[in-house]
Amino acid sequence: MKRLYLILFCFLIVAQVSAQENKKRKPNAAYNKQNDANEKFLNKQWWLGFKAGTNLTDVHVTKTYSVFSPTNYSPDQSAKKYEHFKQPGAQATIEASFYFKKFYFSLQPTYQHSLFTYTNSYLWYDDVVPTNNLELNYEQEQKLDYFIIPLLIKYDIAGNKLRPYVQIGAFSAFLINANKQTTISGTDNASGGENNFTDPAIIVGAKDLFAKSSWGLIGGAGLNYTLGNVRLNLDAQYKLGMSNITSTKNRNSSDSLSGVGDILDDMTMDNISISIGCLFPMRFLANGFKSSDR
Amino acid sequence: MDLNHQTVNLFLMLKKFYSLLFIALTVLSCSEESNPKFDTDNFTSIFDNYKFDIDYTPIDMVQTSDGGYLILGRRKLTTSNMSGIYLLKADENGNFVKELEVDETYVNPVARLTQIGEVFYFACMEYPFMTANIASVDPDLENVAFTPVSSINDIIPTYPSVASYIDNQFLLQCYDHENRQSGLLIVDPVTGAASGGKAFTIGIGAADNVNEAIINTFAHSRRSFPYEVGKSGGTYFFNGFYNFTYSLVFTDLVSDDPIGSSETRSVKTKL
Repeated sequence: MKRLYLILFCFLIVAQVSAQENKKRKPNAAYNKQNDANEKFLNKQWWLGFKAGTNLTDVHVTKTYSVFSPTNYSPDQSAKKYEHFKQPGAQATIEASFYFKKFYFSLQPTYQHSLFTYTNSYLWYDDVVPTNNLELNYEQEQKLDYFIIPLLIKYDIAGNKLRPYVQIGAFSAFLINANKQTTISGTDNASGGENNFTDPAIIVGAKDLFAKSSWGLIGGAGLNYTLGNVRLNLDAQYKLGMSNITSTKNRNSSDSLSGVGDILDDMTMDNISISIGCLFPMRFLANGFKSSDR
Repeated sequence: MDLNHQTVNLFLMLKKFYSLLFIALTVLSCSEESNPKFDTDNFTSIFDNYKFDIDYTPIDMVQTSDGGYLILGRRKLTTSNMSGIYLLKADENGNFVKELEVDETYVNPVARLTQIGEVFYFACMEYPFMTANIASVDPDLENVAFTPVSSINDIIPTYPSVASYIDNQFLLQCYDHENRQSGLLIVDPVTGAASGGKAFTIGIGAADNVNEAIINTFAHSRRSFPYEVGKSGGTYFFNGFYNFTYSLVFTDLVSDDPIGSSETRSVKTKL
């Protein structure tokens, strides 16, 4: 419920900013009636476009889970260690935006492929001869495909040909597919000498292990560069995950992963994405087919 | 366009947008929520010890009244070739709570771990006498007590192999190595007193080395036989050694021979 209030609060701020903007705008006495009609037309525009780019993912653990339950050492020794914003993914977006007085109300359905990795390690050794030991290192890579529906409000900060903007919004993400790859490597110092080994990776479909849907908030900024009737777009977004991406019910459903001691934590997923694309105007002026901002 | 008109337009736009937002939030409400019941209904736990040379083998597990679990296991001993007694308490989510390595005087724990009231009982053996004992332990693993099983009908209760809790009594199978016979005893779990029992010869003579071979299977790391005891209707049965073979034997604990002919009621399995 707190998250809902947060979203509503954000949109109230947007509404307030808009009202302030209207108060600042003074009527231009030089406009005649025709200019007023043009201005009315110019103030509204639909933009349709496509953008694609790369993204990096981080997860925030809200509750840890472990298959290994240590009886005589601290659980911290074998705790998962997450890599932050390290592995690049990719995304492709179709953008449909309605422009009105520097504001864009934008729907941006996105296909997003994200990756994140965590590792953990275990050590067993002889009390009498500690050099007799076996160390196992686990690397768990998650590959997630989401269909994301972001709903955004963008605001043009300044400019005409080069238009920087900021944006906020919320998104709902629907899981399309998920895979996990577990690689186990280690060092055996107990079988005579030092023996390093790497087992073949275990790759399993993990769609059931993740939540079917999740949601979050988006903040970001970008640049539009007007080139003829088209706008070239550079867009950066930070998606702040607000809900658990792990399936709480199916967490233990993979025997092959449980067997090697792996289980997913409860976590939210953050994502930084950078995209480039172009936008096409859907409404034109009658003379010269010029887009609203030319 | 006057200021009021612009404001109305903006208001209408935001109204549409908020409608979309409402629909979006309805979808968002389907997001995953934690449920503690899922964590207790379904979990996997590997109880891990960093020591390189320890060896625990689970035998039986029961759920305790607090939702946790009590696990009975064997452990490797350094002082004898028998299996020691290992007990582990886990919470309702399968997380390790406590473990207990019982004194090496008592060895060879066997299934089944049985709850009677708030106390848990299982059969084991006193070393080096090899006599069967009933061990009792509280769910928090604070206290463990042992009660010797008494003899009855010339059955010396050594080498216990399996026990079941039937009709408020332990039905205990043991191997009487002195008399070379498989014994089936009805034992009070609290006092250890045997109130009934029957023994069946394994059929070997004094010079036979089978006796030693059977005893060796009770040692740690040796493959154990699938011993079993139970009661079906009014008939008791056990999986054990009888008449030169490893057999499923039916008995009423009165007749000297298995009930009926061995050809029809006793299924013999030669190993």
